[in-house]
Amino acid sequence: MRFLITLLIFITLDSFAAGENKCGSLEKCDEYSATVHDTYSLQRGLGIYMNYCSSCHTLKMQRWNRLQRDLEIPETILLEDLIKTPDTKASDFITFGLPEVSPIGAPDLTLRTRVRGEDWIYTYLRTFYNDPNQPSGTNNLVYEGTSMPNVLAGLQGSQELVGKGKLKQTTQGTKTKEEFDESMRDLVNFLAYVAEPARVTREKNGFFVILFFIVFTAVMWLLYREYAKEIK
Amino acid sequence: MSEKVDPKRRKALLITSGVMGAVTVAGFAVPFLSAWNPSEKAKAMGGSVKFDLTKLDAGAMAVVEWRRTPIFIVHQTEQAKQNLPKLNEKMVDPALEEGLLRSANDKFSVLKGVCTHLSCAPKYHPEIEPKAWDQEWLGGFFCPCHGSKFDLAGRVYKGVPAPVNLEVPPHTFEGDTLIIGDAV
Amino acid sequence: MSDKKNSFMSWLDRRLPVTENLERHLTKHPVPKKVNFFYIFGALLMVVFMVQVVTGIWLMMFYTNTEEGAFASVEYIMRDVDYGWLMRYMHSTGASAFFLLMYFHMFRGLLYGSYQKPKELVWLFGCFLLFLLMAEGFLGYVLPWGQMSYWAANVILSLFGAIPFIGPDLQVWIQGDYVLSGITLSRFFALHVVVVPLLMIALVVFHIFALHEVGAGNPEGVDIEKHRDEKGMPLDGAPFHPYKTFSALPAIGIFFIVFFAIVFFAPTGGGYFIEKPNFEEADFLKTPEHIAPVWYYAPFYSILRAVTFGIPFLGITSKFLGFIIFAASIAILFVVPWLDRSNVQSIRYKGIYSKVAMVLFAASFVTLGYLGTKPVNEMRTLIAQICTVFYFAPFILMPIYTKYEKTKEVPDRL
Repeated sequence: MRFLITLLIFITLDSFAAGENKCGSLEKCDEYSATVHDTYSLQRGLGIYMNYCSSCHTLKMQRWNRLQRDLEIPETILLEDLIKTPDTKASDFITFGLPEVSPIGAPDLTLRTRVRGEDWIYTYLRTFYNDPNQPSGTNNLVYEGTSMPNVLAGLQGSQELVGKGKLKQTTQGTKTKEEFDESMRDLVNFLAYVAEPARVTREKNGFFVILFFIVFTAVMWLLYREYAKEIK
Repeated sequence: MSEKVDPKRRKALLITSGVMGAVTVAGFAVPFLSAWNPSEKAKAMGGSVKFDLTKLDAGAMAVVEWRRTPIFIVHQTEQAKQNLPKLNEKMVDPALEEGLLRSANDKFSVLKGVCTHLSCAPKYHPEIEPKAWDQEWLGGFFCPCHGSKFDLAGRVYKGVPAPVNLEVPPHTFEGDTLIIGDAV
Repeated sequence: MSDKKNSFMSWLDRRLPVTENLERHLTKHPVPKKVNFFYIFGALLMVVFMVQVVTGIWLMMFYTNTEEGAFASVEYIMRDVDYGWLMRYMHSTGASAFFLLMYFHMFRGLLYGSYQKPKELVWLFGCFLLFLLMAEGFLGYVLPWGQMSYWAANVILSLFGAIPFIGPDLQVWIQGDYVLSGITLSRFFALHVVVVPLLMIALVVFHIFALHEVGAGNPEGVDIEKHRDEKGMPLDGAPFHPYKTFSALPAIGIFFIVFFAIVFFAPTGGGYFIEKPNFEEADFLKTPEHIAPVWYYAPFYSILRAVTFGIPFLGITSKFLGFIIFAASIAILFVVPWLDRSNVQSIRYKGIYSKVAMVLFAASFVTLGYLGTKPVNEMRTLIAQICTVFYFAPFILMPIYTKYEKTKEVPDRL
């Protein structure tokens, strides 16, 4: 018994092992768990993505028509404002933006929230700061030395480093801090949706499947007990 | 020490469990059977195809691929349109209810380029002159594989191996654009 | 009506021993009346096996087994195929479930002496099944061709390369290429889909036949065959059907509740069932920060990493020694029936040493598993080494303590 308690304590303490950063170069990410059920949030996220991200990044595993269906986008908006290039069909993949092997190397973002985690992306988007030592003029707390420029500076304003892992706002953007954080949540929700479009269905229908098996277990339990009476 | 067995309760429980089991199996089957439906990729590849009609001169035919099938788009001449009713008696099925050109338009015919005999690709012979296969040829399609003959609207002549007219694929005309397949 | 049925059955029975086998294995096969929940895992394992086969076949219909197409084909399944995502998650969750159930099933065997005479063969077939399952899981995880698929495969293949003299050539031969590539992927696909499953099916059949020949055990370690009634049915036994078949059904229900809760609400298992790096396509120029195997290999991976020393004067590198001890950690399970010299089957009646040994073994296994998912540091390596000792000690010392410890008297009846 004592041994097991020692074990439990060891495992708990070990989780706080120093020297292992959970959030890229930062010790801890800001927590954010995306939701894909707020259609308006996803639409706003799509808007932000198209305006600030789509010129460099692709979403090459996501089809336009799936996006249209899941986010309830009217046909005209899809064709005029989003797809824009005349030869692209709604069933094509979202491929404009620079390819992965471009000199800038902006990665495809389709699965990025699944690779990095929603917390990571949320924190990353909000911790750019001015850094004259970098060729791009900016750096990031989560991804030290990132080659991505601070495309969101217009919305957020600029920040500067004042201590280890600490930033201070230096100029104002068009959004307040709360508004900007909310926009970033919309964007992360959108990216989480793109990373797994089936998530909308799966989280909605799981409840019924489990309910079914609860009923199944109850019925089978009654059957078993009826026969188990005989061998008591 | 066992209690008395109530056969009715047993039977009821067995039937309920049996039904439950059957529903479970059916429930499991649904996703697997649905997965065999055409996937988004299949639907994308089988999606509609657009064609710009302004590029097609009168008397010419364009071939476009839709669902891995050649589609013949024929820009009918005035003379062809006048000749078509003359051939009604020679046709197995004159298909008068389908309109003169068998399409939703009075200038263009849209036909699947697949011979209804054994699926070869018929050749386009719009010339009005005697041919080896027909001394009174008024233009149409001739299939080199087994000699089936179709007129310019794709209707099949009597007395050839092909049994029915060339199939008309679903299509719509939007101004100067032809959309083959279901509209987007 | 029953006449018709009887005559059909007698027609069939003359040509195929249907009724005889239904009675022998189901309706007249005696099993102990009183067992605990540890005894359900065999049935659940068969259910999971079926889930894996069916979902696996369906995945195969849409998967591309080439380097160029594999990763994209998995996303194709997840997005474009109707219910493809469900099949993928059922298969990945099923794999983890398969291992969890397997570990509990084997632990039951250790606790209740299921391997003792005359069930040694049942145990051996079972150990072989564990080995095949581990191979199957490894081969399967490579197929999505994600970052972790590629790099973890590299680690395991390099273990083969560590074998002296033949190692490097052996590694190239297994890979079919000078480095791990699409060629390796294609052959792993064939092994994963056909070879290992067929072997597993054959072994499951032998496993069950061997068991039925001798009869199942029980938590008390009582031999139920000793006392029978006038009909020859053991007094403490009951026919498999309907008692065990019907008791399995609610258990299957509970299993599916948990299974689908994971599939629908936490399919990546918090990054432990489908690891995060695997959502990025394999890139042989970029190594992930932290190469970790899936949770079910963690205990054995931990043992492998704990071996930080070699035997220089024998020319054995630490890498090779690690491989040997890692292999030994699985191999030692095979010989347990001959290590256990107790006159008593079940832990309930064994002495204090056996009980302590089981606790130490279980605790070490769990700790090693936890450590296997984390990056190394000095403290962790030390604990892993201690736990490795406590993993092997219960087996190595078993012939001694089981022979000399004081056991309790086993009851006659359940």
